[in-house]
Amino acid sequence: MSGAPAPRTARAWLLVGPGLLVLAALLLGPLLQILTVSLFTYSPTRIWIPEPTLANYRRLADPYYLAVSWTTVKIGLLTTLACIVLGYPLAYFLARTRSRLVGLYLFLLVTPLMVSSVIRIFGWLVILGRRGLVNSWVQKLGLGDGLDLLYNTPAVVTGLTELLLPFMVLPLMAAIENVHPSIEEAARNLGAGALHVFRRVIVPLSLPGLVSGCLLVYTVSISALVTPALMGGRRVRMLGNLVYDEVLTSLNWPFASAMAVVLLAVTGGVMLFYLRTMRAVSRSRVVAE
Amino acid sequence: MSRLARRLPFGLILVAIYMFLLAPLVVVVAVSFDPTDAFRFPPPGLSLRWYAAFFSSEPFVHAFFRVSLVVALTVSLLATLVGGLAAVGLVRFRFRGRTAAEVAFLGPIVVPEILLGAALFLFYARLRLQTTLAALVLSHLLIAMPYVVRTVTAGLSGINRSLEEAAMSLGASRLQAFCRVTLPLIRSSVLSGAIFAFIISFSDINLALFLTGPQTVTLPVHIFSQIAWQGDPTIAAASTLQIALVAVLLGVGQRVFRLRVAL
Amino acid sequence: MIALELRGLTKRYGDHLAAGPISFAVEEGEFVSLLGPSGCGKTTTLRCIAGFETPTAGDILMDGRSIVDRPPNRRDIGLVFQNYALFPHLTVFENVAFGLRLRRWAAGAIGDRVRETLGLVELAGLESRLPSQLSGGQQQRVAVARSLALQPRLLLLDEPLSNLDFKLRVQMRGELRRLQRQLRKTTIYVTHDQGEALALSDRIVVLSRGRIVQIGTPAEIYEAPRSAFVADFIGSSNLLAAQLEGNAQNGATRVRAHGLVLASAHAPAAGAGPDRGAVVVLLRPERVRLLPPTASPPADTNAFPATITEITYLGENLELALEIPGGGRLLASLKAGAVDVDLGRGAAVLACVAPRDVRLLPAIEPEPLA
Repeated sequence: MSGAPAPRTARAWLLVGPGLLVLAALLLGPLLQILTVSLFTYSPTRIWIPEPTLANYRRLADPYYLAVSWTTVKIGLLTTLACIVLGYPLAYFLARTRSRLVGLYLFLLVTPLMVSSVIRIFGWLVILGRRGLVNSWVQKLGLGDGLDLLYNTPAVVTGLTELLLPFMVLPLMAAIENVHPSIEEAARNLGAGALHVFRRVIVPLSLPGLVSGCLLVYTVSISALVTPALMGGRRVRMLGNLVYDEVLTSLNWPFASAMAVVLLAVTGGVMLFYLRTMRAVSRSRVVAE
Repeated sequence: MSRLARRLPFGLILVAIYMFLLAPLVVVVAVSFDPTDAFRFPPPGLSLRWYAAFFSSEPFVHAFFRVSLVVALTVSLLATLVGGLAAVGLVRFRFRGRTAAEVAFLGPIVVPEILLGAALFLFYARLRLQTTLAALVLSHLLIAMPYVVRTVTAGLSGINRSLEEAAMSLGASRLQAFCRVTLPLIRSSVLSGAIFAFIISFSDINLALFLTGPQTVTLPVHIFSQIAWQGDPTIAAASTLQIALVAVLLGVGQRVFRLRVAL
Repeated sequence: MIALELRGLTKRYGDHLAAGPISFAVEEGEFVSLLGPSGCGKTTTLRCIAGFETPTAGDILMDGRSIVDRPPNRRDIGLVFQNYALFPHLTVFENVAFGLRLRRWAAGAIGDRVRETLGLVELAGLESRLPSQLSGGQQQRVAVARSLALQPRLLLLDEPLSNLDFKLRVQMRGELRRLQRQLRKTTIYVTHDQGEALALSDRIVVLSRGRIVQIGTPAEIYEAPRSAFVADFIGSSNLLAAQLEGNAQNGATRVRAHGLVLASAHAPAAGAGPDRGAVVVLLRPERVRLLPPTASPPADTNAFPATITEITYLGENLELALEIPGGGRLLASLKAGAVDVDLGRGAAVLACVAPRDVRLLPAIEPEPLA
């Protein structure tokens, strides 16, 4: 049977080939290029000169860029936290409900996810803007002239949380579905109130889903561009805004590449850490069995 | 405390969370029907003037129909083809490097979109392709493909090999068995993947911001620029049209093709 | 003293009546089984008692006080689940200690109680294992220990042995019985296995389609079933449609079933329905004795010729299918060792049944018990 495996493998590569080609050409190539360009020197006339330098990375250590990085990390953490707080009740409900409308509830959860983020941000601008809904009620109730609800960190966190909440809910929901309801009932039968059941049973057993969700929310929020651009204004700038400006406005592509590489390293690092922990967790489970 | 009283606070919390989630979209849709441009909610009346404005605005119409729609349809087709074939290769064949290939196909999901946008922009700049439709299509293909691969893979894995084997025992060749038995059975996964790819391409903003030029402005990018320049409720009309498109596609996908969004 | 009482307990899901009205009382220290086929409402009833379902109507009283409005975590009732529902992320010790920790017991007291309870179920030494490291039987014991550690007023068990293989089931059955007797814990046990119900219970509540059809001791249920359904569900049975034949001498009742006339020592059940003379005759297979065809039967015994059509060897017993005059079929069950007649397919025998083993059941299912 020496002839049999070879043509089959060839066929497999034929099928997988075009996709891999797309990946190599459009993912690998550009990322490698970014890596190399980040080490080149910036030139106002020719954009970059292929002379290796670490100046771009060193510039990132400037206080301004460190501040922006800190803002980015901070917003990422706050968004993740908000998503956990709002996401758990929703995920629990969706996982446990036996209502026939569950398809509708899922549809309502997923549709905003699939609509362009600009549209959702536009909605927030209408709600929170100076001439927006909240302020019109504030004025009607005579509570003052109008609040500055936009162009600050809470606004950006609000926008990102609303955007990314489904990313937390979906994996969490899947994890909770894996916890058999009888385990919750056993805990209640032994005297645990709802909060206790949540803390002692649901949370530990849905941890993988929680970690998955946190990972997703965090990595997407630290690479946000549109939300801080429209809801953060001049005061709240994140790394994404800087990359955009450097690439399209300042045309300092080496520096932009350096920022991109750093961002990639951070998200890649978080992913790796997650995979490492997950493998360790599942390995310990296997040993237990 | 009666059972209802105990359940009420949780129910209220859920309603509040859903309201938070849907508030922006609801407001946008409502504002699009407001006859004035005062952005009030609930709108004082119903009017289609902003929709009229949308259809008479050349940039908006161009963005929606000549750019976004065209690109999304193309991407949907290409992604389904390329991704579908890849999925078949990954599920039905055993070969060295298969696991690596599986992981590779998840690559575009792992890399943040703005990084892809910046990287692709620089890449195309080298090839002088920056702002063409082709560049946009290829870029969207990159981010849509993993979802198609995942959807079709899930669908294929659910099909018992013995069905194809039964067909072959009745005289069909491998290819015939695949086309006549498996393909019809994964039809819903393939169509779900196609719908997914369409939506991802149509709604993309992060890549498009880097890759669009004067002739190739997508709808989300145009909305973005209009917001930045303090436009009028035509934005709301454009947005509502996109929301409607996505909602219909998702609804059909969920109902007819049992589309399930899993992350 | 009555520990638990159900009064008219009813549970509906929309239009579908899952159970009820159901009424019965459980005495202190009693072991009561809820027995019936799947869908008969036994699990629904149990879950109502535990508080995981709210009755649509009726009341549940524990020690005379209604507990229907109490949430499931405040009922002082232990529930052992069919799939054990052990906390997979906690050790055996922590599983059993769970309820005690909730009540904020001191660490020392928790340790003592946990060890004592694990000793009761004979699992000492396994405290630090995780549920995934235990066998099915061990997991089941942990589930029981977890509930018993709180010394609840009442113990509910939902088909706890159904996931175990046969030998283990029999062994665990014995242990549960021993444990219950030792602790004198009022226990309600749900099962569809009539052997378990007979072996374990002080009393059995037989349910069918949401209603109680009979309550009694195992002997009462087995010897004097109220209806053909109960007779068929408990043990194996021969059920023959028959007609009453007026009163015979000695106060015995005569019935005609197919081509047979049998004398029964029992009075017929009050005939309901259009045909007041119709009854169903119950003959337990193990009460059918076989004699050689030419032997003379003992006095005052029903005797009739029969032909063996099938013999099934079951190790301990022999099960024989007999054809009787009139074309009917009968099952007889003999101990394999006690055979004093020539057995072979087609062999003719004389079948004998004592009048007191001829039970008369209503032809139409009687009304369920309130």
